[in-house]
Amino acid sequence: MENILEIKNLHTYFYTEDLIIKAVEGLSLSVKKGEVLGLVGESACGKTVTAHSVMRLIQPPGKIVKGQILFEGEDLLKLSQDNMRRLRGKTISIIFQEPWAALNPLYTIGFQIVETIKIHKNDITKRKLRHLALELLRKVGISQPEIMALSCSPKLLIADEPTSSLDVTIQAQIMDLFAQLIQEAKFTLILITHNLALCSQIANRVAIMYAGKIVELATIEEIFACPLHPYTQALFSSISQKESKEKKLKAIEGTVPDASSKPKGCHFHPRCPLKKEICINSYPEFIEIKPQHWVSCFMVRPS
Amino acid sequence: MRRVENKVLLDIKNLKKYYPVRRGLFYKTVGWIKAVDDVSFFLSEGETLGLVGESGCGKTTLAKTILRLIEPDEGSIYFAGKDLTKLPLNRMRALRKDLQIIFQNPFNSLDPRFTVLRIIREGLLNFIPKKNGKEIIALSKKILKDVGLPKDSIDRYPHEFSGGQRQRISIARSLILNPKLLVLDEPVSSLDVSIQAQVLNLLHALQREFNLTYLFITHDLRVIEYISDKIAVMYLGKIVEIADTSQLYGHPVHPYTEALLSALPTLDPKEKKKRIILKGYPPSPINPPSGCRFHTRCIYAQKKCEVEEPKLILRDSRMVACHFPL
Repeated sequence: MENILEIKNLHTYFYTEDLIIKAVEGLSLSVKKGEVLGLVGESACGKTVTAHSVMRLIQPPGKIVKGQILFEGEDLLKLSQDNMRRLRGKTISIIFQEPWAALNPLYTIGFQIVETIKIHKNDITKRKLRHLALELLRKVGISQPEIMALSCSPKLLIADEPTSSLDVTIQAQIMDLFAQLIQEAKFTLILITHNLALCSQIANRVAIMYAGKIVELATIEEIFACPLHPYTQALFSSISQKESKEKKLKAIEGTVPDASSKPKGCHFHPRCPLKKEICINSYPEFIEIKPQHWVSCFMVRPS
Repeated sequence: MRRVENKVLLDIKNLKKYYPVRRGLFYKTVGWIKAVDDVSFFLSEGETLGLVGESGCGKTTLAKTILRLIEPDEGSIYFAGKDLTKLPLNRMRALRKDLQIIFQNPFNSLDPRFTVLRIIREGLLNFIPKKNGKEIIALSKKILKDVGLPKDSIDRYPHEFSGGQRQRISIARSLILNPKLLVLDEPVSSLDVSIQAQVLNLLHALQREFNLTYLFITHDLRVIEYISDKIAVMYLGKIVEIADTSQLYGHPVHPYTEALLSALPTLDPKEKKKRIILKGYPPSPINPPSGCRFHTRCIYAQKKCEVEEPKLILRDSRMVACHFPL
């Protein structure tokens, strides 16, 4: 399958008065056309910054320092502001995390849905717009911001924690809706979440992110059956499971490192149960251990 | 299994808290929000009761009402045999030492201008004023060690700590008073999963060490399964089911419990479980539906459910409020 999006060696930094926060540091990731890719990691690991980099929404003091973001072969970072604006919301769209903050309380829902269409299609009549908005609303059944992102039938949709501020029953509704829309509209979806279980429902592949980098990438079946990176394994075991009822949960010691002072070597080494000398000094390459399964860890090597 | 003594510590009977809805020029009461509507349950010493429900169902109001941070309108709260609702305020205040609460967000429940020592000793100064400075510092250091914080944190400020560590400070602040009941209002919801596990392990260990009784409020069904002995499910101000944790997860009897559990995403992509997607949103608590409050979203609802409100009654060693339990 061809790649719709290829992120190569992306570095996005934030410059404060006295420190540089390396939110994304050397991230590479390919997204296949038509797939649902889950991007999973804990808070402050750089998930949202990655998404905003793809949309080119990084504002000062943030800056994309290095790398390429190829969308259908074209480097988004080389596009002019005008050309980028033509793409944004039309071909590549985003759903922001907080539905309360993502909608402007001063405008009607209808206006906000058609706003993107108006920008991208000049020749459309008011009546047509209204009709379209109504149809979209009917499609999603509810007034969630999801529809705004879908109003121009994008090729790539990035959903940044679309359900994490919602209750479980509502979350189930939204996930169901996503599954249904993907069947109908055939777009590519990057689902950003901290909830591994959520990915298992609709994702084809999962990328695990830690401290600004992808540490593991595999198909959904593979990652649930055989997670290889110690961080991924720890993530699985720290979610309470039925069989762990009477046991202690396996917590990961320590905390996520500060993006301004990441540990040398493998960023996970201070919390890793398997660390060796080499992990402290150098960063492990991201390699394909078995077909379709990539890991960046010295302790996991092809046999 | 943890040894659970049968002595009842907290016994809630027909507790109600209504808020008036006022509108118009004369600020007339046009309706009532029934945030907590006729809630009854009990909690034995050393036990953990998980209270689960969606946002707006009245979990936090219930917790605050039990502590009389909000005055209840009706009903009684027996704590160690005493009815808290009948206590005069000065005696209630003295009792607060035994009933502590830990809030959801450790970023705004700690005063940013206080050092950790000042935060955790405040309760001591209020309730046990005779202790001298040295004793207080020694006790504070011991408590910090108990919750897994380094000794030198005593002179530091909240902003120097991560979310998980701040929640440990909140726990230390409550524990220093040697409470009997700890109300935990979404204590891990704002933390990352790897940190959640640390805090849950800590709460588990502390419970055994100090024989604490927990009322654990959360919307997270995974967390609550791990920590609770029994679980109460709340919907629109009412408790719809109370059962032992394994019983509830093994076989939910109330349709709402069933839907909640089925909405939970599984960790196994191959397992395609039967999912019940509830239609619509929880109705407004201002004018809740007639009869069973859940009937508007219930897939099993029948005529009777629209008319007659089901009572919470004992059925096969669990409490359930449904005309047609599963």
